Amino acid sequence: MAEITIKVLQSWKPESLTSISDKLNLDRKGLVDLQDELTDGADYDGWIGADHYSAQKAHTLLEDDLVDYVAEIAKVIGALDTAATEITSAQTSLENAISTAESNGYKVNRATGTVTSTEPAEDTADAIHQQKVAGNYADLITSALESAATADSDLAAALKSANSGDIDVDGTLADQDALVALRNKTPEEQAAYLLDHPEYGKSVLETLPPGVRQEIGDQLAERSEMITDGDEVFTPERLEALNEAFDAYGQDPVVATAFAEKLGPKGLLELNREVASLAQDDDHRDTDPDAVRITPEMARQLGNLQTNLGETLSSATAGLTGDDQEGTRSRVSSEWVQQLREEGEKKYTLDGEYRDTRGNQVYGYQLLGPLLHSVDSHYLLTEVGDGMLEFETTFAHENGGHLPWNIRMVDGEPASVTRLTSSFATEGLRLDWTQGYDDKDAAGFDPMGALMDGLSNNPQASRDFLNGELPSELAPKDTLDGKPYSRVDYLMTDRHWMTDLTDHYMNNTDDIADGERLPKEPNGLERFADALQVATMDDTVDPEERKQIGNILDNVVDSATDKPVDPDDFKHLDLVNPSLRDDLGEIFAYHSETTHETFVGGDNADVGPYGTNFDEGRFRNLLADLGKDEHANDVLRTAAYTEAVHQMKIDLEGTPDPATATKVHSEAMGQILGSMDYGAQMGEIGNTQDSDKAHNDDVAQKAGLAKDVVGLIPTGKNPITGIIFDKGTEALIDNWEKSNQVDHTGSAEFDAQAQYNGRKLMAESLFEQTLLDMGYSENEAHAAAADAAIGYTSGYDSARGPK
Amino acid sequence: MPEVVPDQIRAAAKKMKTAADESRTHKPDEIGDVATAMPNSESAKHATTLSTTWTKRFTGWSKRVDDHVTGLNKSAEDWDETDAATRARNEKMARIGDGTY
Repeated sequence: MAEITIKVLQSWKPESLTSISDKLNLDRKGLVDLQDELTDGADYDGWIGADHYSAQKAHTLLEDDLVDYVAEIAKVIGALDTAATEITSAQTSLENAISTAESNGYKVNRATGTVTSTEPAEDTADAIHQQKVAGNYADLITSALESAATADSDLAAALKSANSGDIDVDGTLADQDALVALRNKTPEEQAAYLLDHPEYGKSVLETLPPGVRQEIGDQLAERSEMITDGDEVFTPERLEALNEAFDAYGQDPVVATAFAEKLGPKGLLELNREVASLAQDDDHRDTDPDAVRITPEMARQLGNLQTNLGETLSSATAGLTGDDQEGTRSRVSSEWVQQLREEGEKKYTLDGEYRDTRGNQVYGYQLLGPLLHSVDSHYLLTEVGDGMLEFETTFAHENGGHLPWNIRMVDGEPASVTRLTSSFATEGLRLDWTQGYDDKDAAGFDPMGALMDGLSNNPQASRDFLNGELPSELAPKDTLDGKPYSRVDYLMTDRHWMTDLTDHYMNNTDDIADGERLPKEPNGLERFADALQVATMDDTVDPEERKQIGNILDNVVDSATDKPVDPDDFKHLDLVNPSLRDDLGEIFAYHSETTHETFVGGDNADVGPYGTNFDEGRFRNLLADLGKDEHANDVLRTAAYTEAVHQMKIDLEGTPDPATATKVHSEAMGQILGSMDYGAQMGEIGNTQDSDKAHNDDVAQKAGLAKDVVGLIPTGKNPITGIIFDKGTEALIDNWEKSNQVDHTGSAEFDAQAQYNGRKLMAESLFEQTLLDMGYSENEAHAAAADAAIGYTSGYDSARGPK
Repeated sequence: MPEVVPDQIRAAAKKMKTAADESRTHKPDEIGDVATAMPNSESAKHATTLSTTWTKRFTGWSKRVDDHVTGLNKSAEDWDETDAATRARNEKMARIGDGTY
């Protein structure tokens, strides 16, 4: 910022800024009026051929560039108008301060800004008084100078931005014409016009001065709040108009911040309470003829509005990076988010004409949930996430394990089942319209699923949340080791993910004995799996982030396998929820290097690119459990082959003795595949669909396929990530596996012996081809094949059965 | 009678020429006057720079339009020559056909 003195501020001519702005406006108008010429300049319908295409392309580029240039002028006009107003105000404040000081017997030093009394002080008290008064005048002068400096800085920023030429707007010159017409309107008038014409949003938003954007945010909040006015009728059409305004302007940080500040955290939740209950879902059993019933269009608009509220909330908080941050024009304060967290724990009463007059309640977090799907702001997600988790775990600890979301609140108290059967109060209530309103779409009573969805939008937020703390008093007592209780453990194996239906009666599963009335879906567990994948399947190079990933992987293995396993009962045992197996399979397939090196490194060694430390036996148990799922089985096996070859290639570079490398890596591969096959057997996975395909006796063809597989797998150590194999490699391995299937009668049952034989053959040819690919002789390659068979068998046998 | 393609192209070129000429009268270089309106300010130097940038940018745009116009007129000319050659060929074929050639 330039140093602004009294003399400098007095020398400025804000009226000249207005005059410059007027001339720019005329230039802008002149350019906007070229729209007709540009339209007619591309009117040659009968022209065909390459020249036509080139001409059209050139024309489009010319027009787009001109639109951007005009938008840039518009932005500068706005900045000049704002600066003129603010500098005029600063000059007025300065002159008032100076004239007031001077008329009251004080002298102002124009050069330094200091203020002194012209009268000598009568005594010490008088001197102190004079000093205080002089200080007040000096403060007024300083304040005026600071305002001017800020105005200068803002204008300079706008000019600098225009200089860079990086503005890029949509639309046509005609859209820019709207701004020409709005120039002399007040910010309130401009905001009202633009909200009524959201079609201009993409063209003009970037050019609007901050004052107008703030006004748009304020008015957007006012228009939204009309939903809470019981006398207003909100039809789908009206909601659509509101949504269009949000789509056009709601994600701008200045607009979003003004919106959030105007509503406040409590206002935002109250708004969503009204949005959610504007209509009942259509599975409501009540027969109230006056109830507003949902239509597809209404459902769509409600969902859109909740999504828009979430996106706006995200934009208003995106600029926060930590606690104790003040709000600015383009972000709320961290205190705002802390207040939102506090509101999350409070009860919000629902009432509507169609409800039981007792008026039921939900928690603030349940009203916040639907918005979280579309949030990607790190600070908001982690703060709200920490708060929600702490709230529910503390509540459960104090209430016999019941989660707060699973308890119907009536008049502020948990309601019993008996009481619930006579209450229709929240039936048909859907809190979350963003994901649809079928039976399979979560109703939003459990906000943890939505939080997981939000975390999936931001890998770092997901990692930070999953690596956060959980009070040790919540840990189950029957674990195998004394490690700290992790959030992954809680979410993956201990939390009761309630079935989240609109018929809330169905959600109190602890009180209902009849299992047939307990559908498992929809619940938030799949969302948790997504968050887990986003957190861990990320190619970050940052060492701290990689450590976090390693920690999460350790937590997954530990928490899935922290209880003793009865080998006789493994078939019926679920180490992880079956619905998580495919996702966890993908995670460990992605981390194929970690998976492989666990079996190379030995028990509890820090291995792999993420420094993980799995217990070998426990990890085998987990792999066997995952192996019960067909998809997990497929991806983990493909990854195992690929990684084994990759590791072989690394080790063989420059080493004269391939025997050791072959044995080590084939054994590790054997352990993985042995675990997978055991799991497949326990899970009664059918053999591949080509199981009746005739066994391919053509050795050359088998070798050719193996060669192709080996050729696709890269040589050389990638220090950053493990292999990410593509669909091409995956398909090739799949074909190669099928070509090695032993023929059988076509039974759908898993044939353990056949699989073992087939895979042993595959291991041999794979390692043989690897050596040939690396330039070793045929004799050396054959020897490697034999070593591979031995290593594979050893690993495979040691992996069979739980440990 | 429907407008022939070369005429369409030339008409479009004329419109674009107008756009280029008109745009030259609306170069927003007055932004440089901010330096005079706010001496010793941070904005002053950026305004001077922007004036130069905009002059260059808008002059450049007008020149690009001029080049585009030239291209369009050339395309119209090429189209005319092709038509003339085709007409000449067709006439020759007709004269061959009726034995006069």
